[in-house]
Amino acid sequence: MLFLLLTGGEPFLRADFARIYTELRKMGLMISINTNGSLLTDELMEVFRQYPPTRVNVSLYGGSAQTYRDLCRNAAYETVTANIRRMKEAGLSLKINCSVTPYNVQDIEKIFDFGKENEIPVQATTYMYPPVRINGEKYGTAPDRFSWEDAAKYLVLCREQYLTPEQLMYGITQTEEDTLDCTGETGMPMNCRAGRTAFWVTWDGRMLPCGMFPNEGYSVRSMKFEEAWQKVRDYTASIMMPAECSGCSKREKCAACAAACIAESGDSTIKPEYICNMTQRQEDLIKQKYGRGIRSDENK
Amino acid sequence: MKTNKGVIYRNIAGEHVLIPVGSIAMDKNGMFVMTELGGCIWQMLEQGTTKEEIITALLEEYEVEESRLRADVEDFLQRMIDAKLIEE
Repeated sequence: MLFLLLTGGEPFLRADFARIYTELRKMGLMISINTNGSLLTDELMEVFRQYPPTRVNVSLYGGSAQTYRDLCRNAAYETVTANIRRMKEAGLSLKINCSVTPYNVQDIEKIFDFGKENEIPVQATTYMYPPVRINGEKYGTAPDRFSWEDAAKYLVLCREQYLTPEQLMYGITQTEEDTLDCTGETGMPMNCRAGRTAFWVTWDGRMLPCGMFPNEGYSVRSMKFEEAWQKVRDYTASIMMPAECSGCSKREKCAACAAACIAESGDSTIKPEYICNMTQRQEDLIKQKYGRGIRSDENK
Repeated sequence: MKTNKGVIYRNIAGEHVLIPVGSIAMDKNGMFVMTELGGCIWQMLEQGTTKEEIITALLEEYEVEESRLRADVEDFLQRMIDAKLIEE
């Protein structure tokens, strides 16, 4: 194993985080950490100076104290932004993660501006998985997320913060011509790293192909690690994705993956309408806004 | 001459990989992949082998003129020193 992501919940909540992290790093693992950045202590900063992580991904939930408080129901904005600056000044490799929701959407520009001011890349997403595990097994239900129309609209706004019109157009025109969508006849196997070169272990020791699968997984506490890994690989190999997506010209840039299909419908072989619509709308919005300008440039 | 204690050597799927994990990782955030021979020299250095002992050992292993081997080993070690992976 070479790459390890420590995430949560919030990993810094663990009193023994520093010890766990240090010992893993000394084993020669390239460690990234997902944190909300609110619990960074002097002790942790000293650990990170001695054993720098490969990257720290900090979730920033708002571009102002007000928005942060409205979404997270706590007043940590000042603490989090101060901690981000502190880690940056110490020379740590950082990325800001931003989950855009109806509650912080008005701060998109502010969050990207914070990233630019501090020379930290921002990765934003407007798609929210239906939280199946805490939702009583209700697939496709996510009351706090955008409509697919708004998810597309605001994802384009996010991309406009760091991509030029040419890059935005390139992103939607790099694959083959739009042909016959939704007409594939054969399902596709999973084609990401999950369950093939990567695995996920939950807080209570269950191994899954990736953290977005709502399944039980295989307990590394009740079976050997190799056995759990083999079961995860076998399970991954058995999963098929929607047949109708297999011929889609947009599949390379669509966020539909097996875990998302399951979260949206309970079945990995059913096309996730929300994501499909979102992908199409994004393309339409970019074409409407930038398509003409780019074409006239090409005609010069 | 010794290896930097903040750098971990790992053999990953047959590749000789150096992973900076100590404070050196602040400047060198990533990993280094060495050739078979580079991996061999690194492991000898970790065991406290001197440069002259390394050259002698490699001369026994490979059919090569000593002057050429010496130049190659010294070039490799200098590059590793410049990258702060090895300390003089």
